[in-house]
Amino acid sequence: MAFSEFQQILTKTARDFLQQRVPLDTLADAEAHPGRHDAALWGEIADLGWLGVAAPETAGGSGATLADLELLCEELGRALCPAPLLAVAVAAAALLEREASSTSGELLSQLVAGEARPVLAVSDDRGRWEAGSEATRWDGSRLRGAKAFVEGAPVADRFLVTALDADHRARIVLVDARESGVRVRPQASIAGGHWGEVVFEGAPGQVLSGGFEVVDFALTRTAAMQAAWCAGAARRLLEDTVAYVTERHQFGVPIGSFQAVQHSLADCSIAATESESMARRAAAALDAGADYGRLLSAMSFVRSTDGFVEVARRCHQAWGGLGFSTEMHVHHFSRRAKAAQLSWGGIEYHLEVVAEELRTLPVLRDRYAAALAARGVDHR
Amino acid sequence: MTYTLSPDVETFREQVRSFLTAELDPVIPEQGPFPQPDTPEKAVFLKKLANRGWLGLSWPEDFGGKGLPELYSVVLQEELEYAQMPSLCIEIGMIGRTLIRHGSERLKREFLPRIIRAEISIALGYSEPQAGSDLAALELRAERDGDEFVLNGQKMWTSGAHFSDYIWLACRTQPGSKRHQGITLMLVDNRAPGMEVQRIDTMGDHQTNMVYFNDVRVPVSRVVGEIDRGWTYIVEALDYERLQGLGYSGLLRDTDELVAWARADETRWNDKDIRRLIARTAVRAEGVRCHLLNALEILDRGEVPTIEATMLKVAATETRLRLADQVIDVLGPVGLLKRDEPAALMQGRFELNWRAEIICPIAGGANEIQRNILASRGLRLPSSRPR
Repeated sequence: MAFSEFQQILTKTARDFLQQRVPLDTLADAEAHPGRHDAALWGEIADLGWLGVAAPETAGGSGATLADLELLCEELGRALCPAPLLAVAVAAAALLEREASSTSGELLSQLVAGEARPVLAVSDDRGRWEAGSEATRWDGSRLRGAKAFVEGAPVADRFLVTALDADHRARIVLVDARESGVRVRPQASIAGGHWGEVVFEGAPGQVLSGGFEVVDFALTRTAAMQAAWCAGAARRLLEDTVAYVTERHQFGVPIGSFQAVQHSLADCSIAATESESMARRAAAALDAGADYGRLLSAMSFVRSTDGFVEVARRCHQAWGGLGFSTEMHVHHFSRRAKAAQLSWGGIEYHLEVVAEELRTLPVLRDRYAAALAARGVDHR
Repeated sequence: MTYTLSPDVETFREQVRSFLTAELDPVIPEQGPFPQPDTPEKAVFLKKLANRGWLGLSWPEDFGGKGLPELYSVVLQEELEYAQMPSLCIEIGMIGRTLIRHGSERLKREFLPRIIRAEISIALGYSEPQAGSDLAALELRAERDGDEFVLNGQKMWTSGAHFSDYIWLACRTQPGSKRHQGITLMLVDNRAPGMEVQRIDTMGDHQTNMVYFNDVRVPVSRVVGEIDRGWTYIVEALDYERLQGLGYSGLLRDTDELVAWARADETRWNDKDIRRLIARTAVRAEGVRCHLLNALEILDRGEVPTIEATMLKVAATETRLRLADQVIDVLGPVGLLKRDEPAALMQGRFELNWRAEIICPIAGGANEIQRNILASRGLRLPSSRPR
């Protein structure tokens, strides 16, 4: 692959920093304290410019491409970085960038500087990714209702909440997490406490100008970046597993010399390569403003999260009992793989996006069928 | 990093599509998937391709080619396969290239012009009853007698031998030689006395053959490269072969047919099972396309994309086979009706694919062999050979 000099430096810096600053053996502790915000780490991340990779320069960002951000997300995945960058620096930042009002512009600048940590609160208590449901209402001055599976909620300081207003219109309400009418509770799930339940009991807030299309814009970008994250994580796990099966001997030979193990890991390499390539292709399409950007983004989400689960399961089998032990780090990968499949609306939602996009995109077959029909031939 | 090919390549792709829009022969897809001219219609179509100058795109100009990067012939192949039109991929991509690199002047003069003008077709004679995945176990005997070799033995799965003009075959020129040594490549006239072609019918409506050799005499001048060095050329040509029957375009065509079918009727599109099937299929097809793009990108740099092409082969063949099964499950029993049944859906495409695609993960190097390659050359895992 041809990477720009900027991309090579970004990748190298990220790998070194993450390896040194958040090695895998710190994950258990981070998981044990889901509501603890590591301000020092966040500050260093802000200093590296990672909170504004794709943000416009007017907001203090570096105005780089999504292809650049994609590579950073692969590195974050490789490290299983526990800091909520996808929720804050990808999802919320994309929403604020799209909103482009003075409120959101100001908040985006704060986000990029590491001074604000807003996250999207969209899913209801059943995990449905919805514009608005009766469960969350904005009466013009107060917000009432509940959200769940909110990515990054335990450490967020603001919420961008989807709600229905009095006229039943889908709105986005900005709410401060410190308001007395807001209660946040980390949800203990398979991958620790990155999800939170957020209850609004008449909390004050500020209505943004956009509707659900803004949320969808953010979701499209986030789906591709979550795919990148999973691709990086799957690649790392595969590399570690290849090293392990080369070392581990049974019957007097490395277990990696058995075809049963080799073929399983060969399948992992196919899944990891596809995930990586699809995420990169989606990012490039979004950068180019291609009409199939939303399609590729949803596709990459489906393939990469599925692929990560497949890789994790196969790698578990290769590690044997050792991988089941929490002494080893395989479980950190596999549990997060499963959670990724259900994040951001989950695979089912993204499959619907794929179908929706396919419904109208042109297919080459129709061109050939039309040509034959024009010649009086029934297409077979 | 970009995933778009150069504008010149995309312009060429569009030229191919325009050509196909004008020249599609709707009869051809019904004549079976054989890429070579086994019917008059296919022969006519291939002549048109030759006249357009599109055979031998990546051959040097000295041999009548266009001297373009390999990428162009792969793109042509991709488009032909999608349109379900024939090609001469084996002759052009594999045989021609090997002749250009290793053939004698005489062989080049005799064969290259006829290949590029679509005047001959050549069958591949590698496999034998005892030499499948383990090709180096081949036993077809070739004994030297003056200026000739005398062939005795048998070839298997020699697709195309019932109509092609020549067989490109590997035989053992050193009696009792071990494995990779003593193997020679030669071009054998398919009408030479002593050859007997026996058909093998397959469950995929595809005819293949066994070929028996009884004292078949082949001039020494028909040997490709050096005697006893054939294995080197075979291995070298495998990388080209993997890029020929790409498999991706067929999968894409399947997906597009499914999309077009579902779009044509609201009730189909509103069916969640159908929508899910289409979405999941399109996701996997896009994944397979990525392997192809990765391979093309490396080709574009003038390198050989062994790992990428291997991944492509495994992913494309298995995805396509699984797709046929899943489509039929969603369609129900009508999905199993053959093309000419009045109630058949999409011309019985998936009923045929279910049968015909079974061979794809087996042919062209079984997928188990491909996974060995991914493990050893891609992941650098320790050797699995018995020690």
